[in-house]
Amino acid sequence: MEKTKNQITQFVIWFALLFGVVVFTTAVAQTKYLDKNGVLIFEASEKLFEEVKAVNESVTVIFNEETNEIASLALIKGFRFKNSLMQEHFNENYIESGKYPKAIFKGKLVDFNPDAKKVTVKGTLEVRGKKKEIETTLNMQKVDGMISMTGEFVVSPSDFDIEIPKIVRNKIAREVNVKLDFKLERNDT
Amino acid sequence: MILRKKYSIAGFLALLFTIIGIVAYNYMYQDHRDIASEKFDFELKPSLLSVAMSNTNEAANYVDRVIQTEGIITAIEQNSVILDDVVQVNFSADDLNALSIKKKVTIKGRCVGYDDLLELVKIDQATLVNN
Repeated sequence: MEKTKNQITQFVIWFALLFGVVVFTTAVAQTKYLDKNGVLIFEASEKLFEEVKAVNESVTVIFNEETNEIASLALIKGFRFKNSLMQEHFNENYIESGKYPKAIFKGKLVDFNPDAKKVTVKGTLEVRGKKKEIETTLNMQKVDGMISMTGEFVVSPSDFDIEIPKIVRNKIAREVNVKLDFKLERNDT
Repeated sequence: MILRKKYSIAGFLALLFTIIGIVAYNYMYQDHRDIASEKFDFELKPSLLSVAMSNTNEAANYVDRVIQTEGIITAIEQNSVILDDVVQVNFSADDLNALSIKKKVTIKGRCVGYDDLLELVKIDQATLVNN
């Protein structure tokens, strides 16, 4: 009995792996643009207080030109603050990067036109397991084989159920400004 | 006599506050980790690291730890290299200039996490280990 169960699980795993490989290969065959070193900066500074700002310089971005789908992933541990204690508190107390190691955005460039200078992006940002709808206009430039995108949007800690303790509440802005700077390279393989 | 006592109490308090101040300042503005000077916690091949990191439970053992790994450069990007197609390494200094594709290198850096969009392990603050 135990043996057949094992065999079934094994079969399921192999099937899933094979299926995964097939899906992955077909996905890669499309025209994709990739950036493995996208820059994401967020800032929640209040005047007169110490700057609350972090930079992540290895954000992944994938854009599929056929479907206009865009996805981006930032590892939380990749955000670096000037103040190391702030970085530690951010990871351990606020965003709990041990439990929620990544921030993921999935969406679409709704009016993508290779010749346009601007493009509207719409999608969901998932942080700490909580989802938030984002819509913003990005500056865009497409030069042979490269698409550069820059822009910003605003989120708030409460969107992701992040509680800011009273003691630091007036030192952290309620609106967090997020800036992005992506340079995607064409990837046909 | 009383006056002298007052002065010594004031002096003691001043000293105490200075010490508390210094300790608090050092606590609040402590230096970042210097990965380059830390000893590595794990040494393993890129492929093994990738397998471990793709498993959420196992990944926790490696995240934020110092990893040393040896692999072949399969791609060079603006400020990073890919080892054996599975590990992305971002260097802290411009060690990048000396590198070329297909070269075998050993690096040491901090494991940041697993990127499941590209199925890549990300390592940052890396330095080249001379071999």
